[in-house]
Amino acid sequence: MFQRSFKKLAELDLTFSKLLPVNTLFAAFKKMVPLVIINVYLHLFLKLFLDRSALIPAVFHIKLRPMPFYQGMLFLTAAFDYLVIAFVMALWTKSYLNRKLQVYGYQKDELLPVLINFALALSYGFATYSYASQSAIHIIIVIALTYLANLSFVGLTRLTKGKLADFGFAYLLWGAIVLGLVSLLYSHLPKLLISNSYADFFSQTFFAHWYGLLLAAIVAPILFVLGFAVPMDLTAASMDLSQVNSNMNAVYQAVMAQLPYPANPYSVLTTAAMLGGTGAALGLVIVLVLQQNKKTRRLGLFAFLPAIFDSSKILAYGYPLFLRPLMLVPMILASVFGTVFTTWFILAGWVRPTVFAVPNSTPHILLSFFASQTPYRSLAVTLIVLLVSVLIYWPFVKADKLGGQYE
Amino acid sequence: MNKLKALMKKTVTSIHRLPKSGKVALILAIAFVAVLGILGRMWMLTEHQNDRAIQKARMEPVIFIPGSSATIRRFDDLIDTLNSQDKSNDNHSVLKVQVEKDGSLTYSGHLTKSNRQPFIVVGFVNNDDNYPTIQADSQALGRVMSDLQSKYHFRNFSSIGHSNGGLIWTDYLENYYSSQSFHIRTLMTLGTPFNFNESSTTKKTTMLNDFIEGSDNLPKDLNVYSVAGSDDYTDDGTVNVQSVLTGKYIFQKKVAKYTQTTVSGDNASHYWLPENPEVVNLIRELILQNKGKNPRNNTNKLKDESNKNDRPEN
Repeated sequence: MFQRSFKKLAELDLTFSKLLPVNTLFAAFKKMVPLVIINVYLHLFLKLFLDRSALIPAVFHIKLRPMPFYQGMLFLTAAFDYLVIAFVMALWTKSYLNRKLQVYGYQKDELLPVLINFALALSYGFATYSYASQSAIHIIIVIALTYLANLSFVGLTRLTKGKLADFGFAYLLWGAIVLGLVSLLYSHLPKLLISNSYADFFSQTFFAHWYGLLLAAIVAPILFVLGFAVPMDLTAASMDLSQVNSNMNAVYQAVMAQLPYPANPYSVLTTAAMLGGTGAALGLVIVLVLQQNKKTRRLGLFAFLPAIFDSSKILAYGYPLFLRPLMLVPMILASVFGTVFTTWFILAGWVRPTVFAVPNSTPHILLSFFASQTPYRSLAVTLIVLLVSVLIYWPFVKADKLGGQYE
Repeated sequence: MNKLKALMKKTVTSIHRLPKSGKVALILAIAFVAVLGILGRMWMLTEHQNDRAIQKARMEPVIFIPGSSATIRRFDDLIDTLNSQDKSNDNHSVLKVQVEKDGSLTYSGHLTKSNRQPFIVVGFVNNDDNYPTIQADSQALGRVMSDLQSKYHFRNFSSIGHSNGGLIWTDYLENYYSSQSFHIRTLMTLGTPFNFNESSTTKKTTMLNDFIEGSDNLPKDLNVYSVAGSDDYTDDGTVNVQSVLTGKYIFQKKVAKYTQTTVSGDNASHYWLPENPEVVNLIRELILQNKGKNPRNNTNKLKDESNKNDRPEN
């Protein structure tokens, strides 16, 4: 039964990935991996070494002076994120239109739609970017709009039987309409889709119960795989949640006080379900590092250090993780296991939850060790979660015929 | 069990198969995390040694006390102005505490714990304009502060007292404040008559004499700003400027910094002093430490709305 459903899932994943739009999108993702690696390591360098509140300056007692260039670098690296997406959309448009128009027997220069979709993706950045880089990047919005733009280009070409000049008035008008509509849409994006922090929402007591946390543990990987940004309240050590504040207040009243919200997004989801990124992706990275396939192993090695510091972006583009039914399942399983296992130990009283504030960029794998009042037990729980997530990912990576295919 | 063994064997073989550079990278990364873990844990331990004090430095409320005959709504306009000018878009949440005749406390509003500088307004139903009432209110303030601390666990705070509210703060700081429990950063008094209605500095009231006598108990690291309003060169319509200036006999050389300033212009009369544009600027710059978008516009707005409210107070 299990074997059969597993096989069916792998087949579904392969069939889905063979669809022309998906296949060409994944190829575009993979082509961008070198740039993504540069982007990720630049982010990592900034947050580890130049952020004055980061872990490394804190533990080595380095007092960094305010650096005027730091804000500028933050701005540029955040802009880099959008540039990567814009390049992906451009590459995708090029290969998708090329193959799609060939199917219909048309020969067209794709430069105009490539430029239009590049601008479409970049203007998403202009519309949503905030200086504090708190804004959410929902890549699915850009993918959906680019796809619609491509469909409309194909539709126009078919309608006119490919007789229009590549840079003629009709195509220019098409480009103008696409960019106009997209700008209109961006200017009306609800705040909910721009912000990446929902502290009030996650401060509800619902998220201090196992069922609330379980729901979040299931939904977060789905959001990630669909290309939505996972809220920062779950992925970063968010001290703004009211449950976290109440716990901290209780601890400062009496050291071993009974905490009002022992299980909360910080003590459970951030600490256990987000090891290495959404879906305990550190487990996946370890599996990749141990693969025989050279290219897959190399991808794992590149992703290893960022994953320790909870960025799975290299895998999201390079494996890829986005829009993959096969990878969604182990992500949910690892996330759910981490959540249930950690919640159970916390509620049973064997470990004290993660409660204290930690320096920025503290890896989630060390979070409970630093910020729990039972550091060694909590570290043991975290390591077990990591080990089990490796075991969960292992068969899925083995069954995956897509990972590393385009490298 | 056998499957697990096989998996372990596979894992070891996979590690062996790794190229040399891969092995080195893996070992370095793991060693890096281990070192970070050990040093980080040590850092956390030292950080949390004196944590109760340090940790709660995160929340530093600004506590307002209105003058005689004024209610806990006295600072509503001022708070609206300050919130509307706040650049951070993170408004100061507001909690109001009313001390009833029987000494019981009535809470309204709420403090958002993510706010670093929320506002707390403490009002007294017993708010007559005389020294015994001020003494009783400052004693009650001691209870309010303990209650607030047990609820919200802050240590650092700043204070603003309008008119007799400044007298209540002064009496509290001399008689009930404990630096073991709290750390007051700033006291700002607005039109506070430290010598009641006396305009002559040679005639000191009992209250002023008591304050001067008890001034050694004032926190040594306190910053005091005494703001007087000037409506017609001698007073703000209610309180004599000279009475405000006698504050120097209490605070000068007893606290870290004592600054007197006189404001005039729009809303400089006693009642409207908290809404005076210069006062709003002073609060923002000296207590909230941020500069608003356009204070002038907002204070003009205040002026327009200023005719709707209560009665004069002292």
